[in-house]
Amino acid sequence: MDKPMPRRAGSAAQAGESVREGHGVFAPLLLRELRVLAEDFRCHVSFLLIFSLMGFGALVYAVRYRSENRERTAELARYTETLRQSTVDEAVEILHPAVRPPWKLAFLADGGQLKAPNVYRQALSAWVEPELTRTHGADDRSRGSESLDWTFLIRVVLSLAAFALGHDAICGARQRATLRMLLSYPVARWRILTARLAAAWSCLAVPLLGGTAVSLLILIGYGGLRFNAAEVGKIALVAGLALWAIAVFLLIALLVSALTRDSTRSLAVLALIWVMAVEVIPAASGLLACGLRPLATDKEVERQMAEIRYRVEAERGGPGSWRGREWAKADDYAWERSSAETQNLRYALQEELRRAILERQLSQVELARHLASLSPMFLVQELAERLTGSGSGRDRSFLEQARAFGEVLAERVRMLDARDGESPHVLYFSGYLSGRPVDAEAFPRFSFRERSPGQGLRASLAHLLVLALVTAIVLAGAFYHFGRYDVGGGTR
Amino acid sequence: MIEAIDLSKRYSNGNLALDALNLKVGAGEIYCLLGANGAGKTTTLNLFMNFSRPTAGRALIHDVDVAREPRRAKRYLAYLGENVTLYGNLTAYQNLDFFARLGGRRDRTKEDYAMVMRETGLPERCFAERVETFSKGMRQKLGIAVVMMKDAPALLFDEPMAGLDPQAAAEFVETLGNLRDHGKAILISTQDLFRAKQLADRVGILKEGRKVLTCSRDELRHENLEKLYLDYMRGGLGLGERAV
Repeated sequence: MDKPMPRRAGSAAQAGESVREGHGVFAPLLLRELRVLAEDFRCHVSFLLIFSLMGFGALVYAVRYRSENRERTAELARYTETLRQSTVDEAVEILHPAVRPPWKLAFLADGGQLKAPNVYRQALSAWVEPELTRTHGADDRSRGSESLDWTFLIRVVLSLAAFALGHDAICGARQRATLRMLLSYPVARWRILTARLAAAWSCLAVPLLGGTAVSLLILIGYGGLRFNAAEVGKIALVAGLALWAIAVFLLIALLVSALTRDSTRSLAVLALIWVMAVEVIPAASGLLACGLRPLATDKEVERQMAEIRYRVEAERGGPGSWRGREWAKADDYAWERSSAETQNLRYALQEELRRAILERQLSQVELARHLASLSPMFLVQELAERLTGSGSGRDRSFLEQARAFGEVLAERVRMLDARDGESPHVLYFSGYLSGRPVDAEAFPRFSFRERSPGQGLRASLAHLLVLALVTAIVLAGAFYHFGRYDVGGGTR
Repeated sequence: MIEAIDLSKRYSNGNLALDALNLKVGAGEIYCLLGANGAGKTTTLNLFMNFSRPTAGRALIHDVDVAREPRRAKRYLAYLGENVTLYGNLTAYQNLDFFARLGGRRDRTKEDYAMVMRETGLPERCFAERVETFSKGMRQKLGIAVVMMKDAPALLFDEPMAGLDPQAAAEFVETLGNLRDHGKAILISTQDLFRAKQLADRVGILKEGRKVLTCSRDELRHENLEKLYLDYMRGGLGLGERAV
């Protein structure tokens, strides 16, 4: 029985010649991959997880933002009320709060801002010690205090989803024998891998972008947040970084898939990588940082503080008993001035020690983060924090600005006191300064300056280069190994 | 069309899967490679598909060295494996369309696809159905349609009749005969002696990577292939290749 060949088939040899490799094959490959993934349970779960986590995270931050704002407003109102009832003389013993505003981009990269101190209260008098505390926040032991920001999403959810989607892209296709059929066509392997990468990337990028839109709607609508151009720029930068991170995680999965012969092994290797990158490396980095940059204990700090006091007072005399103004006026407050100088010196030295301790704490955190950046997941988190101006950079900047605010306050009090001819001008000791009331409205208030996107980019340059290098390595590795992947019998 | 010249493959664990195979399949010819599991049949096809690289020798498709110019060689060949790996979540039409586009044929119409599927004996009601609902025989028919749509001069089949019911196998044999009549060079790896005798213009028996016997259709008529095959399987190595 003789049946005709399909219409337009032509002769066999002609048909072979007419086939042009590569032309227009990428679109069907990509569409097929997308179609397969669109019906894949892993894709559905990833979609749901990303979308719901972003929405829920935004809701949590909207609630927190409102609550932090309320508490900040209350703290500042209390402070204004106290100032209204104070004289210049009394103002030196008031704890002036430098309240860091709630971190508007905490939904992107919290960077520990939820737990880090956000109020620096400082008095001008050497008798009153400064306080560094939080106005609010959950107890660290509460699970509710965990951040549900985008860095969590990238570090944990996107990496897991990418590994789940990509682990069997090559070895699984080999096992299912779909690769054999595909590779029996004159299609370059890199096109197949690119289509697979692009399809899986789209599967994660779409819910990410959808989740971004939903997050912003919740934050603006419910949280009442308003973003300026710089903040919109930072949101775009982190969204771009998340899309980049998806590609890196997928490439890692594809590389492992191209290095293994079956999907169980590939999944096991990726699970190991994930646990190492997300749990072991950061934990080890923390331990190592503690060992390399140990912090002084409270007892040690107390001892050092006392040592400063003894040293200064041994050199310049103890605080003694300050005299009443009428009595002291007789020798123009000579003893009080000398004692004030001693106490101001003691205070300045102790403040220097406090700074050094805080600096040590921050540098320990930064060292731990540098070491943790060996993990691609934490490298991306560190980048997100640097780009937005969150993390230890924001803590450091806050402390610097708060201290600068202290100097502004001291200058203002000095000026106010100088205007009063009746004042003994013993700076900054209550009972020996101007008794005139303070104009609460005109008194300086702390205003925090966030890092600009340009500063963020500059601070991220080194990390960006490292991420680019990691991307190039896994990209080259995945394409190289897939190019040489033995679709046949292997090593039997 | 399909030619192996001293083609050898040694795996990284030292196992010699194929030892200096020589064979040639011309246009309008069906060559059946017989052999036990692990004899080197699939390895041979893998080398022709460039799924593995040969340790020595050459695999030629349409005079193109597969290892040197794999993509060019693949323009001239079509392949169908034992488990037809089409895409379950695509319909028969969509599978054909996908593979046709992959083969660089973007001018094919739905009518072309329908015609090819009719030729393979696939029921018309299945054309728009998802392949995941197909029986093995139906998948095999669609696989043949994919191969026919590529319209390559050289065809490779790896255990194509395994698991097919007698009727499906008979239809498959008929289709292969039709393809041969259209000048295709066909290399089939199989363990089905009955179908091999029925189909093949020539038969080669592989044992532990070596071709130990070649016989033509005329020679097969006078020989008991089953007996020959079993004799060679039972015999030790060192027999040297023999043509009947």
